[in-house]
Amino acid sequence: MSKKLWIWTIVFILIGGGIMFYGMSYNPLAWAQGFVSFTEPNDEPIPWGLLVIGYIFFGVIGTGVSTYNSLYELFNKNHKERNPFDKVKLRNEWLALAVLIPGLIMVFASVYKPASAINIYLSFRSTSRIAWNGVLYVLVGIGIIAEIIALIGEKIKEEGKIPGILKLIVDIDALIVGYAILAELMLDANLGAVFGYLSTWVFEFGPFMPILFVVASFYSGIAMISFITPLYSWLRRPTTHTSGSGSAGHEDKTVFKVLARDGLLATIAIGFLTLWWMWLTATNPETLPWAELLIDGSWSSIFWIGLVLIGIIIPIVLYSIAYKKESKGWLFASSIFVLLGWFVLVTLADVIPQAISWYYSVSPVSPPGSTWVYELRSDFNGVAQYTLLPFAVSSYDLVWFAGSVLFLLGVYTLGVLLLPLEEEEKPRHLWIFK
Amino acid sequence: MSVNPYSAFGNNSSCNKWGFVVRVDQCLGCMACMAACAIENQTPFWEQLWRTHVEDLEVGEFPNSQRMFVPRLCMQCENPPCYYVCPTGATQIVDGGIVVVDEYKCMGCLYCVEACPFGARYFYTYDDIQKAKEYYGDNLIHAVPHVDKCTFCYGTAPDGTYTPACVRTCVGGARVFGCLDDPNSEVSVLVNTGQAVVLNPQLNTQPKVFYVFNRQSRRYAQGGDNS
Repeated sequence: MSKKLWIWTIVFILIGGGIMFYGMSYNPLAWAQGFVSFTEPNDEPIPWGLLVIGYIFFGVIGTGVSTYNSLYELFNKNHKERNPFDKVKLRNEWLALAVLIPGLIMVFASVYKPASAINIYLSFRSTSRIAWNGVLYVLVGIGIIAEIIALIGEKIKEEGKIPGILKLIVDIDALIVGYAILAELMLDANLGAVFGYLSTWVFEFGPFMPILFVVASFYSGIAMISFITPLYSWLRRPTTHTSGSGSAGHEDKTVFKVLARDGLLATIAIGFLTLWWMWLTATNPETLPWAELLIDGSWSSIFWIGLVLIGIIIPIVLYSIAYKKESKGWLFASSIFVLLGWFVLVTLADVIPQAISWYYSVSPVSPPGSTWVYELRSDFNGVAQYTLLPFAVSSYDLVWFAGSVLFLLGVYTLGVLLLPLEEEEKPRHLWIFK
Repeated sequence: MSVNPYSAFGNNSSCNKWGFVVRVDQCLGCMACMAACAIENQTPFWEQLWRTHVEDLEVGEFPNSQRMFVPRLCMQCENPPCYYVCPTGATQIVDGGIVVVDEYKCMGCLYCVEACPFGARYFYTYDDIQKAKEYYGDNLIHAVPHVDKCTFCYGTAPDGTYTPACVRTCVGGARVFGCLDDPNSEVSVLVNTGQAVVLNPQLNTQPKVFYVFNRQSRRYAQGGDNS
């Protein structure tokens, strides 16, 4: 098994890395400074395309997995037997970190000059939400890595021999977990605010989007754990049988039941927020065209089938069945639908605010105290008049998306191979490697 | 005696608040301003991307319609969304309240392009630099890819003197440039007498580019017909 897993890991890291190398036009230094032609197709009328969608998709899943896992860890710190994820918490934390990696890759690939991102830290502008994203990603990364080290440290502590620095980390474990949760929630809210305040003139969107993204982190994070946990259960079944543990099956069922329950609640919350989103959009005359786009316009099939049906209604049904039957099969199926629905939700949250240049319109506006003011429609810099701006996926975006996702498949299993993620595995090398 | 065409309005730091007025009724639609700007600032006109652009609009409905040319440029807002969202500090406000982009600091995230409600920004790509070499040889203004926008031609004159290229070129006198701090300047008079107004004031970005519309377009905008 280990040999096959090594081959899998190396193959996917090489394939993913190779595709990304191609995405850099085989010249990483030039790519980092924007001196490659391949980035050119990124000038579609909707500036933020698939890579922005991709980084939100993976970024929010990663933080969601960690937040959800860490909340159970934190609030059951002194009663580990009450934590249904106690045996898989380390694996979940690694999953969170691994899933963040393609998100981070796509963040860098989505900008024209990745090397200049260093200026976020060198000349930080506190009014910029993307600048805060840069800071929060680092803080979240530190939090998750510290949490992984602390959880591995716990295993060493059980054996009694633990070096000073690791002991300190283990001793302040609760603090680290709390910090990680806080940083992750802030990152999700801030990411939502980037999109909420794109449309500065629609005030309600600003506060709404952070709420949506925080809830979505649970929605997508629970789905990711619900995807991986049954998968592990199936793949590791022979080992479980040979150990002859009668209680293992029951414990697994508890995990599936808890995941189904929490997934169901998160999905219902997303359903409510979608309704709220529509209400906000449709009841504001300025944003009505956006609502129309979703309800009966060109994005309606994606909205109704992709989000409402696949992302909300079907998962509610499947999660309910999974909860009732305590079934990993139904849970696994639910998670696939939720992950698809989450991708659609991200796509809509990214594209729809950019989709209409509604603010370019010839019409008089007469606020109090003003004699004459004008709005003007425009085809300034290629923006079409009164038309829906097209959304297109460039080959550059596709290359980077595919490369980073394939890279994830290798990176995740690399952690499985190197780190003592499972309950029975112990660290033996350099304190944290098995 | 030779006259420095740049020096009509002093130098970059001689005013705290430069302003711009567009007299829509005096714009002929000759597009000379676009050509002048494109040459002065080496904008990627081959991709139809401009720092300033003249919109050719038909307002009203036939037979009560009219053709209207509306020059557009960066509004140099006093409360600029592009400045606040820039994560790398590339967008800066310099002498005279002019918003500029430090092209070396810009990482090309396009957040400012998203944030600008006037669509005044675009990305100057590596391919644009290559294309510019065909037109301008090695005498390039833009060395690295970056987000580009109108700067009122800030810093284009070697000695720091100042008149935007579009103003120097405008044949109809539709573009008026000056110091808003000086109550006697033409821009101040047009603004203070209420003849010149800003676009999209509800966005509260406080543009420093103002527009004077003619009687017909006012009547159209007022909701009446033009007969």
